[in-house]
Amino acid sequence: MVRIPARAIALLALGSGGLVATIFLGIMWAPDVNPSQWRAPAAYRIIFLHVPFAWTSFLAFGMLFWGSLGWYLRRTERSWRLVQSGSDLGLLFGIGVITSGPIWGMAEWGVPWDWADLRLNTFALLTALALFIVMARRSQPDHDSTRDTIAAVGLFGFILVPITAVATTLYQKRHPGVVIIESEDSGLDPAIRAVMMVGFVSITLLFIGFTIISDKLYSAEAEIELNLKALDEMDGGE
Amino acid sequence: MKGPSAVGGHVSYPVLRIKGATVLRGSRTVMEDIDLDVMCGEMLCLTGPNGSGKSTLLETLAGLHAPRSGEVVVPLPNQESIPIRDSRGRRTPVPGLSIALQTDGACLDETVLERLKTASMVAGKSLTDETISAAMEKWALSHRSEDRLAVLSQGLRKRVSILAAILPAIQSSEPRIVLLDEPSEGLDAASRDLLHESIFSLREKGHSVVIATHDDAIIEISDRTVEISSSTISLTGPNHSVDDPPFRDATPVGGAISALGRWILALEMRNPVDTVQRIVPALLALFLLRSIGLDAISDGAPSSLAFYILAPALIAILVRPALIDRLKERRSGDWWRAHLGRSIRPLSSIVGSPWILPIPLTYLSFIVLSNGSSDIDPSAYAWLWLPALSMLDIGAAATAIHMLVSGFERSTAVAASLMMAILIWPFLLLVDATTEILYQGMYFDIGFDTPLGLIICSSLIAASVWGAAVIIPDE
Repeated sequence: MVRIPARAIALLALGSGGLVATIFLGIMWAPDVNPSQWRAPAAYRIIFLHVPFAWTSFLAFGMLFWGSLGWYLRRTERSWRLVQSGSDLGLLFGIGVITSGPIWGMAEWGVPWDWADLRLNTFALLTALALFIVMARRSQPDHDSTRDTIAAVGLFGFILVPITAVATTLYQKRHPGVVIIESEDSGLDPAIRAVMMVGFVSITLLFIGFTIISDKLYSAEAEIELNLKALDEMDGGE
Repeated sequence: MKGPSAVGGHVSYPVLRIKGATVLRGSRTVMEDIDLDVMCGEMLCLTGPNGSGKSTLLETLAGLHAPRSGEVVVPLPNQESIPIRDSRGRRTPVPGLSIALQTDGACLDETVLERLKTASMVAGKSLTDETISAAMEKWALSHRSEDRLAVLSQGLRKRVSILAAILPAIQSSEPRIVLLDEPSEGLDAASRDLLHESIFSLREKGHSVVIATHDDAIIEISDRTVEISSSTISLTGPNHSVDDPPFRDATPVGGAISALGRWILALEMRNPVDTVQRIVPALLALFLLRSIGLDAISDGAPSSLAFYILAPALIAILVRPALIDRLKERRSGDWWRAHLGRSIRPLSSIVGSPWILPIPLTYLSFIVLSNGSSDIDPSAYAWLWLPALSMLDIGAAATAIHMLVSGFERSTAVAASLMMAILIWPFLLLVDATTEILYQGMYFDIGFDTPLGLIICSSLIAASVWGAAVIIPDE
């Protein structure tokens, strides 16, 4: 029987509690912003989830890339588990980014999407890639050739990040994008910063907890598959 | 396990070598730590029960399978070698290769004559029609020369496949390597006799012939036999001295590249399924746009008209190319991969793109949707071909992405469209360029705000995406 490590459960519990606290603090405690500078001042509170989601999906995509590179170069099971976990968590947190972003955008900018915004579009692209990889892993037989192709897709996705940076920058020169107001020059209110930190820490704890569980589950799956293959051979094999 | 490495009492040299190779098919280890030399002028038979790995070993010699460890090389003097395939991703086509796969390795829309000409071109041989006709006559294929392989029986297709492999060698004065996978399968008695005679003749001319077979008549006349079982091999045959291999260049692929281009074009002209499945959704989109009312389009932002004009062409170029299915049919893609190596993906993605569609579709959309608007520059009509031409770069990138996805065993079970999102930006830049051309006219300054600058940027971005999709090694 697979035992979920106690530390993972603890991290999930802490992270979930922190997330609830973030939402509560964001709605009830974080100060209002200057209504003359914002079209939808109340909607800014989505930032307390949107930015931490972006941070953790960035970590997940980094894990996906590192795992893809590791599998491509060395073909180790550890690398493959990084690909599996990275794509799952990249999809989960990436969806958080690209749903919270348009909700805020619609309220604040009047349009749900800004094709000139580098960060939003990069995350959308990588989330689409993560979805592709998750779907591919579930539909394809688990062979070296399948893993090679998935790792290739993972690397392809990351080569696209600088291409996206150039593309959105060029597009932004033509169509100045609506910038998400996060500049330090605007002087972030200490209370807003505090709630954002709670959000960051909470979602990072959730991310670490999910990563530990994911790694454990995929290790167990691999072990089960090895045992099944051994039984196949005892029964006459392929 | 190492084996003897000389032929029939004569000094010879190795033309192909497998060193410590372990090869998996799916999750099964088919060959483990195999060492094998193929000698010049020898006939080597690969034998073993069904599923033992004969085809895998043959195809590994052709460079079609990347070994998990070890390598396949062409030995050269002074301990040097040309890497054919190894576990680090290096890949080179086997020099002087001809191969007949077990499943023909040909698209069924090819004609018999076309198949033989293509095989000859790929081998770097420009055979005359008379030579090919004489060969077809000998193999009783003349009456079928203009027929597509699809209408032939299995036995006739096998004859075509074998002849395509041995014909370049028969006509060549330089030693070639001929790989045949189960050539006797499906042949009648007369064809089998002709096969035996041809194989014998090839060996007499100094070519190396490797055959995966159950045919006892072929095994009897072979110089050495490789028995495959339980992931290992055992060799039987004489053991003699070995000479140093001569220097060989890697295969020039110019002839094969040219042959691939002609092959793609010929198949599409014979059965334009690619063109049709691109045009139909594009025209449907155009008619739908027309039906929502020209006022709605022209009342929108200036860029709306440019977007709608380019949209049908975009739809056409994003469609999954028929070339992918043609390459999967009867493993014709593997046949091409054996001769072209890693070049096949970049080449196919360019040649398989819809070259003829973007410009006419763009002009058709302009005619249907512009409604004679007075805001449009009168000279715009003459320059719309420029952004439409740049759509070809996006088309090549889309084709490359489709080909990347087609590397999956069950490629129909994955959503390639998720990978296409990156192509939005080059398209949006072209929309901006078209907007400039429509309302300001064409001018040739280069900058981020100018039509030419935008088109160049779009092409560069699309080319970068194409490059990213084709540099990753395939199977």
